[in-house]
Amino acid sequence: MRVLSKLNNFLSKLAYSLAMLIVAIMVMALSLSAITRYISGTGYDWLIELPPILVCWLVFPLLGPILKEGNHIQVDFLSSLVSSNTNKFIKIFTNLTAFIASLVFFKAGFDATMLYFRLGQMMELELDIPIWWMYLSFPVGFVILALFSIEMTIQSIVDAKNPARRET
Amino acid sequence: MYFLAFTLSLIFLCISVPIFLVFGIGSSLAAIVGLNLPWSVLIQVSFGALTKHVLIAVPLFIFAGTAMLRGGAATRLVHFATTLVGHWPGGLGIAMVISMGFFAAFCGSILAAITAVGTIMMPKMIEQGYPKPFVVTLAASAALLEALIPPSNAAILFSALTNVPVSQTFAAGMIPGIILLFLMIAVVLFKCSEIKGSEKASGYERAIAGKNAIPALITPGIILGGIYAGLLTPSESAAIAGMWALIMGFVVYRELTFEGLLKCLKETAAITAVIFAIIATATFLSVVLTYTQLPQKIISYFTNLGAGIYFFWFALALICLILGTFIEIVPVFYLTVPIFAAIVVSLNQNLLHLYVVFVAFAGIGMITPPVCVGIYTAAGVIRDDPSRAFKEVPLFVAVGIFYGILMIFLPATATWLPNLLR
Repeated sequence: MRVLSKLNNFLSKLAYSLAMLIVAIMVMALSLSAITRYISGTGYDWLIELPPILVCWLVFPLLGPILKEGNHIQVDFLSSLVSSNTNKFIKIFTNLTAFIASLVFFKAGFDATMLYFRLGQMMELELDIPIWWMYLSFPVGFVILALFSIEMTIQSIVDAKNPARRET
Repeated sequence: MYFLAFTLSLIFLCISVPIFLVFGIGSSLAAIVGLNLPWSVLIQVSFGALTKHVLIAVPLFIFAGTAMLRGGAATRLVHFATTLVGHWPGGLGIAMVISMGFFAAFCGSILAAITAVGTIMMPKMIEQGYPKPFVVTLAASAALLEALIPPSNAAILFSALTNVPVSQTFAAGMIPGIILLFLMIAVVLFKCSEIKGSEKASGYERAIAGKNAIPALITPGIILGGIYAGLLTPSESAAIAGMWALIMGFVVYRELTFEGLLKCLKETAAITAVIFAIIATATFLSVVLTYTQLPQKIISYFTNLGAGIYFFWFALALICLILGTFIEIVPVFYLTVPIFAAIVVSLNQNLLHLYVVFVAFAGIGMITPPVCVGIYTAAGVIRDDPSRAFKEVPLFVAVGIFYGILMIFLPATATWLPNLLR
């Protein structure tokens, strides 16, 4: 559990660093796109095309860290209506659902990436980027989500079994 | 299979499974098992939706908003609004609504607007005798202006879903946004007319506050001017707004630090991931809708029923109110707008009118418990119990419904300006 927690902390820092870098690149690329268009008269298409293909690498790797932070949008009204014991079981079930779903999506994403890898398709951009490179963010994101959700499942089981630990 | 997918989604929704997973599980079950579609189709459509160029403006406007919050622009705006109207009865409340309207005009994030303006205004208002529940609910409700006053992320999402140009959707929200702003001011005057205003600012103080706020005040002009003059795409204008926010923070106001910039980037990344995760899996649902032809079936049901346009608008209002009570506005967009848009087109109505009516009713969900992220955020700003604010909610919901009905019967408020700017 401790190893998993350390690994996830590392992955969280990595995912956030990547996402922050992508946001910075997006701001700079599109600002430069506008500026260069007025200086050169034509501008560079790749500055416009780069941000959309980067956004996938911003979103999917962050799914796991945000799940752990509890910041994903979810409906919370049931937790206030049921007892704390029931809530504990709901939490285990919710985390387990996230884990199973992330494994299914990982497998689906991996297969789709392999398909595009075999097809060897390139993006219709000025930059020659293989299309599978973008699709790879999907399985990567969901494997990270699986790691975070299994950590949270184990944690919620431990919390449910050990009231003292829960209170602290 | 569809019934099973729907039931499972409902159960997962109720037990607090994140909504992006609920969309993903339910829709993929219907698509893969029910329709025998390959995963690659779902994933391809999902990536197609995520990489739409227009959506790139969403994180960029969020970045601009967070940078302006940390860079001192929000403080100057609020101070300027306070010097202008703070001495009126209920003046601080009015100043908060006006600041929220202005900040919303370049922020792009409802929660950032609540935090930015609320952090400065709410403690002041409470100190001056405004009831805490009213202050919290007002802050949450005034943030709805963000969904209408351009540039708003709601407009960008709507454009991404309906292929209406963003410039048109931005223009459509302008007049309804101003009407909502005046309604909010009327609520403040009605509820707080007995609360004395602050000491009247002198002409000199106003001039200084105005001068300090000029860089922030011209931001909407840069954004919208760039778009409507045909100089910038919406995404580019959002990026320029971000750069302008950095210049203000680092050079003009000198309140933004490198650590602050990193926090802005981190907040932007987190908010973007939350919104885009829903977009990624909600498009699975759009695949199911396309293959099952559900929108067409609903349209033919409406036609056979002989239902008129007003029946549709009131059905939409009811659906948005119910969904908005339990789900936040972004998932409601992706759950309903594709169907509503198909019906609106079949009834020869304007999609911009749909945008304004939809936002009016779905936005009310921001303040209706149990899922009212606006109230939770505003209460969090002053560290108050959000449930205490619930008693003020009915008044604002009533105003919201009145406003929504007004928008149903006044389509020109949404269509006049876009036609003028076309």
